[in-house]
Amino acid sequence: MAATLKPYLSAVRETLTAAICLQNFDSQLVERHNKPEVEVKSNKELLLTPVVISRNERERVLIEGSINSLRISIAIKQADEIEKILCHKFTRFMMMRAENFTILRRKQIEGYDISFLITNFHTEQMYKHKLVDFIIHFMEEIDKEINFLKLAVNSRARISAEEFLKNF
Amino acid sequence: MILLETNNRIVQETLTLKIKNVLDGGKPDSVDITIADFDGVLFHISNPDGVKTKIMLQEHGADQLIKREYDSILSSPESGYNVSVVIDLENVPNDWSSVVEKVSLLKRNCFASVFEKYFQFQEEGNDGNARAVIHYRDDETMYVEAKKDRVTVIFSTIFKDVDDIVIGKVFMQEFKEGRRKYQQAPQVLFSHKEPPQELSNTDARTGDNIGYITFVLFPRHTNKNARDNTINLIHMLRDYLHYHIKCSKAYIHQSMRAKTTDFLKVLNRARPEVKDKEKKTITGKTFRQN
Repeated sequence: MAATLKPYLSAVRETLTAAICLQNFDSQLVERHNKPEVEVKSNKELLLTPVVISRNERERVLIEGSINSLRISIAIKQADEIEKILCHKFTRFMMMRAENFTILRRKQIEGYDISFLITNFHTEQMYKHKLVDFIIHFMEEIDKEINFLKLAVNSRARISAEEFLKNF
Repeated sequence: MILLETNNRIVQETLTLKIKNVLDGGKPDSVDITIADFDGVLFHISNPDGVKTKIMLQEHGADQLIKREYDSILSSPESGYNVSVVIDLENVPNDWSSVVEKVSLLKRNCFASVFEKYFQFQEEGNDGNARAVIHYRDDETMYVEAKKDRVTVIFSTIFKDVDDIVIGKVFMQEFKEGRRKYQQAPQVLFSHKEPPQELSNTDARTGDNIGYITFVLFPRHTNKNARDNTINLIHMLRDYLHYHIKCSKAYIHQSMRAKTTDFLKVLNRARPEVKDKEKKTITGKTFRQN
């Protein structure tokens, strides 16, 4: 399994690097407005073809590009109920703090667990390669963290059950 | 603290403090404390004439056992409570620490009365008795049934949160598996949503958030020597389980918080550092980096 992780991440990295090519673009419909085109989808010719990079049916990344913004949605591996809960809790926890994360989208795209929205203003303020690093780092760490928490719950359950039964 | 205490520590500590105070020659001071314990139990310590402790719970011959245990200090219950005991501070008994201990175990003893009764039935080989149904919380019930060779104890428990169900399942799975390691432990069964077969003809609740925990106790758990220990453990199980579910959730939350700050740090690395800050050299001159 681990063998597929590296090409998966490097594919995401290359695609992101190529896709984060954003420029300022004012709204064509409303004067003096500037909206992320990937969200408003006001004109077809401003959007790029969405790309899905998928490691298996559960883990995949959707990258939607446009002239002034980019949306990345990540589906995180959820093998069983407990992982589902942990993943849900974690993403909700992060999305509630979306203003601190600046590039995090408050709501995920349907079918994915967490979404990021990068606009040209973000790329003007932040280093592009570091932003890509962050996304990759996030994808690596979230799997690790969920596994770790799952193990922690299991071992706590085991220890407490043994302690209880030992006393009979 | 992995196992919960069976007595109530607040009750114990308050009473010890008060009695010690009197024994040291101090004047008895007034006290009015209401303490909540597991399973909707409420203690009220006040002093009409001595120190009083009250508890709400009464079922299945609880009276007999309470009488046996607290005969010397029992008084008529205060309104709103089921049992009252009075400790006279004017003449504190010599073995006061054991009295305090006993009072703090009031809740446990109420539960114990049911178990002792049914353990006795089992010992006598008397299996014609009706099943005891105890609504120990508002919507959670305990069933105790005695057969010739075993006593079955079934708890129903409600998981308020959907996540609790899943975490609860993990815990119960470990209870089932942990038994293989400890042969002396009773058989533990767990069923989710549907009540176990023993309860199929009763009005036991069903639903997504309900779990049933069944203990099968054999004579080696119910004999006179092991009995107290078994009761101590079993009546705390429900609280123990929920306590550990909550602990796990707290732990999960804590580590998520840590991880989120970690992610934030990584993201903030993407912001370029402000370059032309004025820096001072050690001699106090301004230093500009260009």
